[in-house]
Amino acid sequence: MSVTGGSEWLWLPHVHWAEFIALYLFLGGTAGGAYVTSSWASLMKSLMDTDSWLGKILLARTDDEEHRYSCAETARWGSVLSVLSIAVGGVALLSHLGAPLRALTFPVLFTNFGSWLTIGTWVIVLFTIVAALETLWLHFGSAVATESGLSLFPRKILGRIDSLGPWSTDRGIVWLLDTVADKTRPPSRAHGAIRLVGGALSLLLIAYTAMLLSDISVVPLWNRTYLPFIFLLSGVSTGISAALLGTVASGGALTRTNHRFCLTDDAIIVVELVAIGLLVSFLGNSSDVAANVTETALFDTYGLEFVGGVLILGTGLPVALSITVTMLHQFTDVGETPWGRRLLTGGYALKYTLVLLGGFLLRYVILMAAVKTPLGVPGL
Amino acid sequence: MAVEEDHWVFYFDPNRCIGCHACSISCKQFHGRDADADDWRTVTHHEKGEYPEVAEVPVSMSCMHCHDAPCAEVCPTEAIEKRDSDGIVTVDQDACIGCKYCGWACPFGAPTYGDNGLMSKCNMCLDQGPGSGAGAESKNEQDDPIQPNCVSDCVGDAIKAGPQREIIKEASQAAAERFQSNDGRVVVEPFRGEENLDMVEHAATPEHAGD
Amino acid sequence: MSERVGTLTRRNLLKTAGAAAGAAALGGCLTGDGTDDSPSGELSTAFGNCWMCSHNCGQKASVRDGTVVNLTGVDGHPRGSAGPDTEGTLCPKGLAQLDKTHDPKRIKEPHIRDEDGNLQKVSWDEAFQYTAERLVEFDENNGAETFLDATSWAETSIFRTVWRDLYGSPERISRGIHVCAGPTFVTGGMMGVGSNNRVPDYQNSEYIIAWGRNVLNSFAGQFEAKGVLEAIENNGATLVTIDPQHTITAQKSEEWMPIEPRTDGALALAMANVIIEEERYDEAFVENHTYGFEAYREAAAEMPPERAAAITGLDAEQIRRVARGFAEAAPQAGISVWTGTAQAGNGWKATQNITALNGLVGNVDRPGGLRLWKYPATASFGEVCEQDYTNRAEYKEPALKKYDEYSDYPVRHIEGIAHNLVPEMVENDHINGIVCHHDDPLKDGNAEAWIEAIEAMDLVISIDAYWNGVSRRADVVLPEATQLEKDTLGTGNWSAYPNHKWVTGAKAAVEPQWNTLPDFDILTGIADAMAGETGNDDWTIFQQWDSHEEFIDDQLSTLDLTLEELDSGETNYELVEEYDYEQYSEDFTFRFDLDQVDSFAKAAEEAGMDTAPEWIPPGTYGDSTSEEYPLEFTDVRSVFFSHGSNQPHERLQDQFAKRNRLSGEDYRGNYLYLNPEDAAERGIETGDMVAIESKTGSGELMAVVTQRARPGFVTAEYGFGQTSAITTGEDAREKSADGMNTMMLHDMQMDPITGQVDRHIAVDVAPAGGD
Repeated sequence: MSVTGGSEWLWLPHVHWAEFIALYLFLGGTAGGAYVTSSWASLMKSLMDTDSWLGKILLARTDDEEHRYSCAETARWGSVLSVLSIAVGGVALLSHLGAPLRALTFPVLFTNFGSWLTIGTWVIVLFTIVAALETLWLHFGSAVATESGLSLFPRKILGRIDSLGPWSTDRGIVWLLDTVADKTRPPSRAHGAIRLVGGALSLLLIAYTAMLLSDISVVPLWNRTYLPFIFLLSGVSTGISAALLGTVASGGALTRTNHRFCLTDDAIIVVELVAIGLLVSFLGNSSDVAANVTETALFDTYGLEFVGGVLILGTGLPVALSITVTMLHQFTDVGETPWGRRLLTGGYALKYTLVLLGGFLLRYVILMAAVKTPLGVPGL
Repeated sequence: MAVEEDHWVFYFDPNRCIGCHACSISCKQFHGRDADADDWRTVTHHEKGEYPEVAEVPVSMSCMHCHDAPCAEVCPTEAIEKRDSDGIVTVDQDACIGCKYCGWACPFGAPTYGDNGLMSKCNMCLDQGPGSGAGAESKNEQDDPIQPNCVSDCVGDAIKAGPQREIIKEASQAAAERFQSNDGRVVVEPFRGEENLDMVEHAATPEHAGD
Repeated sequence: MSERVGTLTRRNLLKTAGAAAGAAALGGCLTGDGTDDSPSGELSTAFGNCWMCSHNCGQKASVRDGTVVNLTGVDGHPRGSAGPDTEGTLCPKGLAQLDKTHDPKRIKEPHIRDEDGNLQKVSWDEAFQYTAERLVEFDENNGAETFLDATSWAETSIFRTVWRDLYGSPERISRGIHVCAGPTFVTGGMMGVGSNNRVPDYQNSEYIIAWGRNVLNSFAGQFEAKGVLEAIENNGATLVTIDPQHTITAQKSEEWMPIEPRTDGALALAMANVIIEEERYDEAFVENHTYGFEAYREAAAEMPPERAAAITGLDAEQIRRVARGFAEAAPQAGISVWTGTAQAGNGWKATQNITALNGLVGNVDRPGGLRLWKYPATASFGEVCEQDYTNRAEYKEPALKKYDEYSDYPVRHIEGIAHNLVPEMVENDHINGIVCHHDDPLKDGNAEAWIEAIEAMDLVISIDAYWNGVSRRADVVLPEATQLEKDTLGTGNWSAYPNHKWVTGAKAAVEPQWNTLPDFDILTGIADAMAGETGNDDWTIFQQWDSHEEFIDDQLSTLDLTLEELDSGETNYELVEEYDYEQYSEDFTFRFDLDQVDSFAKAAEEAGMDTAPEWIPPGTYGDSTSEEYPLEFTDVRSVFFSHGSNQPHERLQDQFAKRNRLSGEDYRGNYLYLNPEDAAERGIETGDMVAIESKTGSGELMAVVTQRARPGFVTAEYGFGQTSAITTGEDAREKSADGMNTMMLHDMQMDPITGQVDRHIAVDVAPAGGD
């Protein structure tokens, strides 16, 4: 790139990491968060199934059928969305690269393990394997064949392909996956352990996107202290929102599952906002002029995306909406009437959608408003 | 294995730079790059003040072949290499995936990306063309290594390049001291008459990053 | 032609194909003819003299397969280095010679205009024949004496013989006196120092005044910029810049005097006032070698620093400080004047006042002062021509002197022509044809009238490398090979060697590209055709030389050199003779007062000025700002362009745009520089297109708002716009080009003494309509 001149500081130009990379970072975070959500929902369901003491503490009631069902749905949504997210994110990343095909040879090509880009690539690979397996085990198998729910759309789609394909419908892809799923599904304890590993990979996946950025010491906005924390919170939050948006679509808006997850998400968002506030304050008070310029840019050049998109639409408004809806859900009988149900369902759906939008815009702004520490010009 | 003192560094004297851009043009001609491609060696002009208390200072900059090469540190494929033999940082375009991570890591904005999305930058004229020089013979092994074009075509004689120990000898005391005490990446002469020591280098030294 | 280089050289790394994949593209992409095969030939070194600004910095070319693949300077070169054992370099323009040599935009074939008025490609034989026929016809119908030789920068000296002696035209317009810096050249000459008032002995100087010059960017050979930097670094020299605008020279100066435009004459007198008053002048020199001191003293007495401060907007203390500094450092003190003080209506007196300061402090021909540079004694044409011929212009007077129509113009006492008057002369049938050779008069003043004049002329011959406003309108277009494509010999006076005369020369580095020819071959081709057409043997005189090299060898014979020896393979210059300082004779006289110069005395009287130094305010001749046109405009130069030669080169266009921080715009024209005060008043921001208007013309270009510009004073680079070489296309007239021809704003403003075009114009500026 060529540098831009003009002032007593020698400002360096922006490197082109924009929508595609923002999408990749966002989907990476969402994928990780969705998997964690899925795992947690699976845990809740299994607690209900075993009627354990832990379940009694966490859930108050273990016999709520609707709750169990929506946990199952959430677990499935979380897993399939995590796979879809990471897949689309991967495509977004590859289409940004100058040599995407070459990048696919990463197992031999990416030799620098000191680079977060290399570490992250392997995290993504391992995560995708675990998430895909989870998706397989939750969506396929003889037990699942009898279940219903919108989250099972992969079965439906594959089923349609089976009916169109030249092979026998009974012995098609769905049958194959069901068989494989049953054969490979580990027993409950082991499955739980795998979920733990998957969960750890998820958090690593989310955190890696921030580690990648904050390894760049010349960009004050990409701060090693604040950014990983913010991204982790945001990733989990968007993951919850993605999975539960699915659950809402499946009709589970008025379940305890949704209610609880929604409030959890709100708590996360509040902490996230505080963290963002601390970051902004850090930038404003920094002696690095690039940090000051970034702070100004967040409210000026990128005011629409940051204030309007991230702070209001993406976090503030969703929390306010969520509290309203959850209150109405829990403490009133609005949810008893048909129009009330539609209202609440719509409210939840809107909240989750806004959080997702906010999550993308947060990554976008963090890329676009990034400014490198300038060089001082001699003599001025 | 060469010591850091053998590693080639750039030197810049802002007192002598006349902002003519011969360095930028000479570089692009040598490497056969299009007129509108991003410069590897850039010249920027910085204005301050109000007429007639106005100043405008030109600065010529390129890849500084940093001793700690942040670009090489972040490159996933190790396409970027800081050579042991002469310290020149090269890129092997056959290994570059065009992720632009190096572009962000560089404190001087040196990496440029061509139409093919791959990175290229100054290679101290080890060889010609984007991505060239990776694996070329060490400048310290050659009898008469060529000066980078920007050095040999600088009208004001403001730019130098060479093994660090030689450049330090040619630099002024002040410049040498500052380079050494700041763990610097480029040797820059103090601006004649300057009181404060704001330098091109300053904000980009490892200690001061984030100052 | 070029020498094989066997040993390891600086450029040996440019390997043949296969050795470096990256290098493969280089030779290919730099050839203009579209071949992109990997170059396979050996690399060789060749030399040349840069002619972009016509000041001969040495060029060292790397050549492979007939293509120039790299270009750099020649170490130790008199014009292109800082002297012995120093690096030779090339400025951006010189570097662009690489692109120019293989630029597909060049004119590739001779053209003549057919009956339908279209330019048709023809062979050289046809072109020469046609040219001869037209020249003969022209002589019969109009008289050869109405044919104007506008040969600015022919690289060979025989143009004089061709157009003046053989063809018989006394009409000649050159750059220096007529459109560049008439007052500088002529005052210097009349005052006794020639035009050496332009280039002091920088390297030995302790005090250098760049007066109206941005010498660190607009230099006549890089040795000027290098010399100034060396003086500052090695001698601790003080650099002073006198310029209404801030420039890089001002930036590196200890003192910048941000002077009101066109008031330099007052400053110079005030400095003399201080120097004389405080008795800091060289009494011995003034006593023994000057004339007219009394008149000078009187004039200076009327301009104390306080009065000058009010006129110039400067600080009286600074005026004193600079005057004292200059006088104290003298004789190791020098002043450089050129165009900045000359291209104004009152430029004559400004320059006379400034030049006088040299005589006052006695720095003439002394180290660090005004050096009386000498040329080497190459043989003149007359000395080498072994055939007699008649000088058919010998007794002819130029129209300016001959006809009553011009009796109102004082310049007729001094010069044979004035740029602004040519359109009038065309109307009066005193000029009916022109040959433009490496020159574009359409950017030099009075543009609109000149365009009409070119169109009205009966015969227009263009010898040029690019299509521009002249070549597009010409009857005959003869494409010239550029500098590295021909044998060259360059000499000069000033250089990085204050005690040596020098020559520089080279054989062609590559063949003439496409179907172009070196100017020597073009001129001799015309001569041969004229011999056939007229039957006059005089026209055969060039046949005594088989090639330009032979002619050059004859020119060098007085120095006991040949071109082969000069272009030795290691370098391409030779220091030929030493000469000391203070070489002037006993009776050398430096004139403060020019009353003894008859021609000037007459001209001065008619113009209403004194013969001695005096203060003449701006607007006495030329424009003053008014309510309608409240801004003062003049054009400026930049390091990227020499007149109109370099505007076609994309690398220079792009760097120029980058320098102005507007490379992201889809615009590669010139820029109008305005101060934020003037811009704010008009709602103009950097990057806006603006319309600039004078009483007689207008145009549009892009604005750059900068604190370097003086409030009330706007400037732009010239050589751009519709008639410039930046336009493309030989068939379309003036395809839309970015930027404007600044001289469309101009009319008849000029220095009355030399006819030098006065480029200071009263204008106003407003945002242009639309984008």
